[in-house]
Amino acid sequence: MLIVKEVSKTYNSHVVLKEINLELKKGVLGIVGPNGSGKSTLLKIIAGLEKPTCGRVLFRDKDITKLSANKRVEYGIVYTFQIPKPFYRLTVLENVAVSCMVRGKKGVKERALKICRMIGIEHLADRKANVLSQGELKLLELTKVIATEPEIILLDEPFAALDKENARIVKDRLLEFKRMGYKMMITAHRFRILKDVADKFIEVKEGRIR
Amino acid sequence: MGKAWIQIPILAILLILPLFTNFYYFWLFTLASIFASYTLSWYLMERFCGRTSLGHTLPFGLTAYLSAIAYFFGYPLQFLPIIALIVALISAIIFYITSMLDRVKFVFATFLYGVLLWELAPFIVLKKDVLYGGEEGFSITLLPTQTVYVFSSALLIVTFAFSFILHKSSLGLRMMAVRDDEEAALAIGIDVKWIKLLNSFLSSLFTSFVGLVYILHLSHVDPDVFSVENAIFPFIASVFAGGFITPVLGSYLLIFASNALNTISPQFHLVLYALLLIVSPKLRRFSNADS
Repeated sequence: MLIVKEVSKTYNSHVVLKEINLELKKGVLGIVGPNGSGKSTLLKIIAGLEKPTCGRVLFRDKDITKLSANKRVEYGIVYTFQIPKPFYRLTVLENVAVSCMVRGKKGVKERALKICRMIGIEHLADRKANVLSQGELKLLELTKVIATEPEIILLDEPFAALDKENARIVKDRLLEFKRMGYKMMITAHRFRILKDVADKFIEVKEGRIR
Repeated sequence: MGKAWIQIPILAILLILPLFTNFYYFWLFTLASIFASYTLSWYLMERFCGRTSLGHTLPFGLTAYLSAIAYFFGYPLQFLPIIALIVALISAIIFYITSMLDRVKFVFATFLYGVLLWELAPFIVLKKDVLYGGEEGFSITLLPTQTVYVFSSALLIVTFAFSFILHKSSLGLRMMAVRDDEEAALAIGIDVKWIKLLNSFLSSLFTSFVGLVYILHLSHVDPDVFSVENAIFPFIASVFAGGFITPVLGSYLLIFASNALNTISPQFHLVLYALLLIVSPKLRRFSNADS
């Protein structure tokens, strides 16, 4: 179980998050809010990519606030970027393979190929990531996440900058992840886009949960 | 990254060719092989971690300098690899700390190290025991060029083979992930700090041993070993696209072209360096696309 306790974040004097409390025991939590409301910062703090100004993050009753991001991935908490961040000069298969390595280095190519097949991007395996479309990059981002064998997936606006067709494909994958039992936190601007995926919602506005 | 079956024969030809030349060209080929290893060692950092260093004269020149000083104080030649190892460790720590800066600042900061050493080296003058150094530099015993060629060839083969193996390994893949995006690498569980430290060490280690072979070849070192020319050499020699053989070929070409141009006018080779620097952004774009 993941618990966020009294987490605040301030950049210089600007308050981005103020005393956030939330829990994720199971299922999918939707986090909605406008641009600049602090959704991404909240997910990054949980993933360890940002440090909170104060407050704590607990996972399986253990305080992981000071744990580095890479250690949190080993624990099973993994984050996907709003704007996909592939390893541009590597192939799709290498991108997935390197993500598999957190769970051991044996048979990574086979494991990576299996996950590519599961997500439906095996036909892109030999392509360099720098030639992929936005939709393909989003799918690669999801594939990389699954390759780390996570327990909790933090998805930062997975539908951003996607056309209708690609948004549908991403949504189908997320529903599949949900059926497979992954716990997820997903951010979005609007409630509507998440209503089929999320079980619960919270709204973040001006750094606070409303 | 190119295929090994094309690259290995080219390397073999480069290493066998000097055996059929006169002494002068044999000497020049030896120097070229040393600089090819220097470029490849530098390339380990650039290619695998995306850090362009203009400060590899630190491990290269410092090993050469300290080896000459140690030799002056009576340490045997067999002791010199220990100096290379110590310099590699020091350089790795310095490069690692510098790698906390962003990529552009890293270039300028590393450039500063080389320039600082270039400026400081002439001040190494020990009067009491008649160690003058200064602008003159230091000398060690002259080894037969054939012996040095065995060392330089072996070092080039090892550096080349290591680059290839690293490129195919899981460690190499993680390094290249860090090169492409450090934050994304961290987000999939890669220990970015460790990878950067390891990369700094490997690159420094090979460069330090190149510095050692360099002093054995020239039997003399002066402050110019830290020169800007030596600092930018691997950058210029690796501007062309291709596999690991390209930086090697680039180094050989630069050494021979420099030698030919200097017969026209002293230091005329710097014009070639300047021209290659001007076109390097365009050529590097192809190089990056290829790798």
